[in-house]
Amino acid sequence: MRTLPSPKGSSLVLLLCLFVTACTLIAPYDATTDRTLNDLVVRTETFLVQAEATRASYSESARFYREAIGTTRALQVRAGLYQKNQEETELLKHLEEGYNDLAEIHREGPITASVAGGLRTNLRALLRVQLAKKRSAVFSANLEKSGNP
Amino acid sequence: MWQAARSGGIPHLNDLKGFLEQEFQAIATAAADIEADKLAGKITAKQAELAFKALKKSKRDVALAVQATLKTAAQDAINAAFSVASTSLRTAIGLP
Repeated sequence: MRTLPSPKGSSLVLLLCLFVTACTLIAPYDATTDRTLNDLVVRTETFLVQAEATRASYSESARFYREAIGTTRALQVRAGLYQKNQEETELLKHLEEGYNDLAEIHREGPITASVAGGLRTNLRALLRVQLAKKRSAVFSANLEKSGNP
Repeated sequence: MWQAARSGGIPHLNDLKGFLEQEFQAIATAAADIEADKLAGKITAKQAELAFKALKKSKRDVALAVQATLKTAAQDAINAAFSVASTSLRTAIGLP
């Protein structure tokens, strides 16, 4: 049986406890958010190609905007469930703003894909955050596998 | 410990470098495309103005993505360093 009688040993155990507590600076990777975002990117790009090719009016496209904003709000709810998720929460608010901006441009007349540059930047930023979180999740899992937290 | 911290943080920083290069290129291309579509009469001047405004606003999103990636890099670097320290400590005090 192993014992740690000395005060020095107790201090080491205390120090060890500090080391086994993993440092968390950002919310964990969420596979549902990642999947939903990727799906939203596909739907947005498909919509842009169709809108440019058919010169569809805003009223013909209103359904897309309603659905995209609905999906974005659902993602905002999900992001809000996690602590230390400020960047993602902020990006999702900007995403809703991005769809509203695109809708405003569309109300002025038929659109081309070029007018969605701002929205695309926002979507890529959100995907970048998911990739970073995913890489971190894999790294943490490997650390645990190697016997460390 | 330093090596471990590097192994946690460096891959994120490499990703970030690629992301920033791509973004600068993508924003420049998007601006040129808006101008080209306006000149070709595919979009109105008002639409182009609104699109430029939205594009300008999106710079803040690049900054947020950089901030989040730097946090994950720091998190992985710290945890990797802690992991090495924890292993050394456990070995030193004879814990499995």
